[in-house]
Amino acid sequence: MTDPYIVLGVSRDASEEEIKAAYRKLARRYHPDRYANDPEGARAAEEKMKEINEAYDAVNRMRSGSSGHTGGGSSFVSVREKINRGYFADAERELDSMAEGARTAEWHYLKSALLARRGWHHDAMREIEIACAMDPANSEYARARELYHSRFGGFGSQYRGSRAGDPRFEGNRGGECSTCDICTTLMCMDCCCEGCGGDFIRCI
Amino acid sequence: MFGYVKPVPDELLVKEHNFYRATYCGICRAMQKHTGRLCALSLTYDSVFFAIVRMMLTGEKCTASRCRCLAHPVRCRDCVRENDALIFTARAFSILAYGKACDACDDTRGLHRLPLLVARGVLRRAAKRADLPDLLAVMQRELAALAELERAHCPSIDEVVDCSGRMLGEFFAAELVGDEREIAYGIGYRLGRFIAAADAAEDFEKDRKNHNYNPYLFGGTGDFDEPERAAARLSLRAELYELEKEVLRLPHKAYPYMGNIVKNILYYGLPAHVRFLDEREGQEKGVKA
Repeated sequence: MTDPYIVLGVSRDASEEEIKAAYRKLARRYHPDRYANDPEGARAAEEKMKEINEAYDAVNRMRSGSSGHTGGGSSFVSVREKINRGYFADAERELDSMAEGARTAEWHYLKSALLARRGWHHDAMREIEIACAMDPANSEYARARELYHSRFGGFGSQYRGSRAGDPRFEGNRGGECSTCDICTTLMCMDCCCEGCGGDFIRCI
Repeated sequence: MFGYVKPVPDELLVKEHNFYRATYCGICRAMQKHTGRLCALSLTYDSVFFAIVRMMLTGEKCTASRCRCLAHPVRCRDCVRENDALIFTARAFSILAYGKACDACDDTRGLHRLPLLVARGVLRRAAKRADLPDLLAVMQRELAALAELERAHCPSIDEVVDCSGRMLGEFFAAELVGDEREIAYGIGYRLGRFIAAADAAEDFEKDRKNHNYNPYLFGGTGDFDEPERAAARLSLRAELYELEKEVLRLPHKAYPYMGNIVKNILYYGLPAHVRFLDEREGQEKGVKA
């Protein structure tokens, strides 16, 4: 296998951040969406992406020693690859088939990505929280978590300026009839009846 | 879908609010005519959202007339004349009301059950008159799936609320085809999920006291303190974010009135059910201080 550092285009003493940045840059460059109209190029990009994923995983394994993705390392590469290629159902099946023992922070992170893609955000957030708790130093997981909060936290505030979320407008409910309305209507009916010689409510 | 999907009238233009009420009157009349007068008593404002989405998608013509009814005998009111979308809404909501009555009957014990049994009997006949066997089957299937998950004490909130999502999705999409069907299903699916999740979050304390199943109870630590509440808040807003994507696919330019009502419900009416989580937090802090 080629030297993974060469594949990623970083030096051996590069920091973790630099490696991640290099990986993300390459992943963007060879993303299958960029080759939607070019099947030849898409195949080549797919090969390249596979190589990059393997190199990235190998570097991670080397750096984290035995505490890395033991047991599930190579599978995570293939899961990432399936996600990159858009085979979400296959990726999910592969993740679910892994034993409890192989469910590392990476497993929870990938599971979260798949759940979010389906729109199951509550479970997705639970998984990303677990991933962050298991590996607090990982900036990729932390960024995904941050993204969740920034994307959904301020829902509605962009609509017609600042009024959405204004507590002054919260107590209002459409079409309801209050006790005051009922009393006033009864009193009016009583007045009408008395005017006509009857008595609708005797005590008023 | 009972009592959750309402606009905030202060934020509507007067003509939009009039149209909203006229649509409600139109659905009520259609319900009286097609599913029975007693069934019309079960009508809620939620049906207006359903009808408006359907009218926007099918391009149904809306003409208004003035009408009087038993509930408003004195003042004449604007009322949207009966059209296919309103009739369908009336029929679909009689089935949803029947489902709600069945659910309430199953959950209630003792003397309180008697009136519910009567209501269920009335609504069963109305649901039969609605003549939508497919939707009735979908509803029964999803309610059975939900009951199964509840029995198994399912810890996944998303899996539980998905039953309601699928059910409302089918209701919104019924008898539509192509893109319209896809948009309607998306709106129904997301709305159903939101309502089920918001309802579960609101009922948390009650369910814990009565030892009933609640997905937030089994999906979390068993408490509903700030971390759990923050997660619930965020996931409810995430549902609204997904709903917004679907709602913006409706033809807003062609139907500005209806579009504004739908947006009002999305941006003001529904988020009010998320904000109660903030409010309670504020009250508790106030007590402690």
